[in-house]
Amino acid sequence: MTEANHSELISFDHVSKSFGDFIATQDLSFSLPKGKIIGLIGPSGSGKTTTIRLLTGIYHPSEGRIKVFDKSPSDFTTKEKAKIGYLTQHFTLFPDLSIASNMNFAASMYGQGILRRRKKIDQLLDLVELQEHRNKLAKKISGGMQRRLQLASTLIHDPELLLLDEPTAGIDPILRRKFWDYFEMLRDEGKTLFVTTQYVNEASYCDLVGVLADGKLLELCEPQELRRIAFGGEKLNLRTIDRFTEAQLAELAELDIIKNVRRMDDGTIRILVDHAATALPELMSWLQDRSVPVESLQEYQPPFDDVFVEVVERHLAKEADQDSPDELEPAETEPEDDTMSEEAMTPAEAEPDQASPSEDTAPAHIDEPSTTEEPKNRLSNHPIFEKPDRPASHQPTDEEVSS
Amino acid sequence: MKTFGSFLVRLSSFFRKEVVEVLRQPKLVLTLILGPFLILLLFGLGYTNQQDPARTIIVAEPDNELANEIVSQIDQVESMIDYVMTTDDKDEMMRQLTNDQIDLGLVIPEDAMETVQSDEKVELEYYQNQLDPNQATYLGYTATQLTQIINRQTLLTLGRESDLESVTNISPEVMTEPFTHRYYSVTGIEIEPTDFMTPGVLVLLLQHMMTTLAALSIVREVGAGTMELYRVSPLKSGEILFSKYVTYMILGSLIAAALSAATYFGLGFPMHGDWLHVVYVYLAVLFTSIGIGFFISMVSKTDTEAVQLAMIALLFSVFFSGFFIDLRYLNPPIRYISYAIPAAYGKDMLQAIMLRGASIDFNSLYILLGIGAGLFLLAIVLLHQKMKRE
Repeated sequence: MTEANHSELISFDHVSKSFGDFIATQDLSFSLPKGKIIGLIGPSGSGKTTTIRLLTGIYHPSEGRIKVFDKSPSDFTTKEKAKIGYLTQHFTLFPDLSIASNMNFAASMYGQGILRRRKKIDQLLDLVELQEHRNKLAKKISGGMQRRLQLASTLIHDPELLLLDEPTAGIDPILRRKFWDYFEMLRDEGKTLFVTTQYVNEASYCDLVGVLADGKLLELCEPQELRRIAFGGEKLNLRTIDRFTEAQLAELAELDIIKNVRRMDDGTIRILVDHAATALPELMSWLQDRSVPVESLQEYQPPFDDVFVEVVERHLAKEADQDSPDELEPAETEPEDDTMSEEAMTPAEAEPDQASPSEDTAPAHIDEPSTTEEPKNRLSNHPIFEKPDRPASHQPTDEEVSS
Repeated sequence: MKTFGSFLVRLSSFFRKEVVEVLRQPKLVLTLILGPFLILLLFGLGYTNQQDPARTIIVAEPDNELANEIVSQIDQVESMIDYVMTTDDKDEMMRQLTNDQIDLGLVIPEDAMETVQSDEKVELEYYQNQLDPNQATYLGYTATQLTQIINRQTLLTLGRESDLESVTNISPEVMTEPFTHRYYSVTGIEIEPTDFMTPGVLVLLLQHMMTTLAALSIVREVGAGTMELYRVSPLKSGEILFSKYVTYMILGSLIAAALSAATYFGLGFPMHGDWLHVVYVYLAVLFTSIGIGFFISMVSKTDTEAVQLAMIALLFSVFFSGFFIDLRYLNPPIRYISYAIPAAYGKDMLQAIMLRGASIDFNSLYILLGIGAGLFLLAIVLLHQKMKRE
């Protein structure tokens, strides 16, 4: 992962950062390509901002090596610095200056002349929809507008690499969605975006997602892969017109492609498979062979909240297992433990196709409905787990395969 | 009763919060209490109710009997007169007086004693070069005292004369007061106390404004997180500081121009010197004051701390720059503190240029610029430390 690659923009090689006795990030090793949106998700205090600051060169690693643009951030010259756009977690522009003046100041920091910057400022203010407010003082505009202003000023020098520290924190869902639209547009223009967020569901917008907890990188992969890792496969929802019998359920569970089958409270059959794309045709064929009238068979994408919780829980279980192997059974052998995710969800969010908790990864077998079970909430008692605010705006789009 | 209980709960919660907030800023508490206390302590230690004796040159022809008599009796007035020398060169005395090497020049006319013996009063001439009306009055008083001593001594001398006939020829008017005196100011101008104070006020105002603005500048940006943006941008600490210096210099110059215009046109301040020299002094004072401000900004953690330190700097300048009280009233070790205060140089230079019509004192200007350059370099180093990686 740390080997040099021509398309590699960022590489961390066993990087740790500590402040006195406090370890902010621990043994981070990864490399990231150009032209992607890389999301780093994790709760408050998990080390996201420290990682960003390590990338900017504000922090120097206590251990390990970092390379950005093939150079240690500590050795950045003006040339490398000019390629980076940094959006801080809090509003760090000038409240007593107008929006336009703030933009002018940001541009002048990067040595852009008055004539050169004028058009760019107009373009960016149009992009973030602040053009009509350009003469308002930054302190007189709303928090969301301040965030948009900050994003626009981050883009003013056309940076190649954007380091965005919780850009969507504290802003409304509609605006948050717009931000991700901007990010995707910037990615399509060839820019690389490194984005931290507490809103776990925003991971689905990223090309690569890193899960950070307690300063450790638990996973780094594509969002879909993260789901697979979290649940041990991909999930399908099956709804039949007639009731799916227990015998049919048992027969379904015997299929090689099936890892787990479970009947939900609303009658939906939740099926865990290795790969949804390959399993779907086989299942359809199996159902047609048995003349089962299918209402729908579609891939179910659990919310990233659940994915995140599952990944962190696995990590905790692994750690606990290493610490005292006799005391705690490994998570992989605890299929019932998924009720924790249900516990984490609020009723309002429990939409039909996304309300189910995460499921087991054990070999194929049938689970009984478990929504009434007493949750074994291991995370809620752990210090790294602070449930972040949920964005209401985004739920992953299901790939629907109609019957 | 319940309402009163709730009131007490609210009161105690505010009390606790306020106390904790104050105690969490030890530097602020220290500057609030210790700063003014130390200034007053230093001032108290240094202050004497008596200023230095006036450095005095006597101008008389060689072997002047009266001059020799005064010199021999000078110890009677040693608390007031610091005898430097006797010379027959009045121009030399004037030169030293205008160069501030002496405070007082006494000119004794030729054949003074013979004139008295021929029953004529003799007029002694005293010269001083003080702008400060208080100092001029004090030297006038010294001259009066010295003349009285000379008269008393002359009376004794005449009494000892063997030729009593020559003494009896002297009328009682001359005998009781053989010497009168005339007191001249070589400044050649009438200075009102308010005019004398004006240059000092201008300098202190400029210093305080620029120090406070600069003191808030960096600390505010650190607090707001803007410094984090600077650290990631291509900006260098020298560039940031230089840009801020230039900005505040321009801003300060405008303020200085407005203040000068207000005093000259509005208050009718008598300007005798070259405005260009005044501009040089303003620029040097601004440069140094901004340096003090940035130094404060680097060592402060909060806005409040920075403002408090700026106030301490003002208080220090008021007490030890000679604005509030003439430095000659302070003991030498404490008096030397003024050498480190930009306002002291600025005030003296402005007074000389504006009131005396003198040319700029380049030595003071270079010292002031030297202090400013030192502060500039210190500020760059401190800002560089603040901006470097953690």
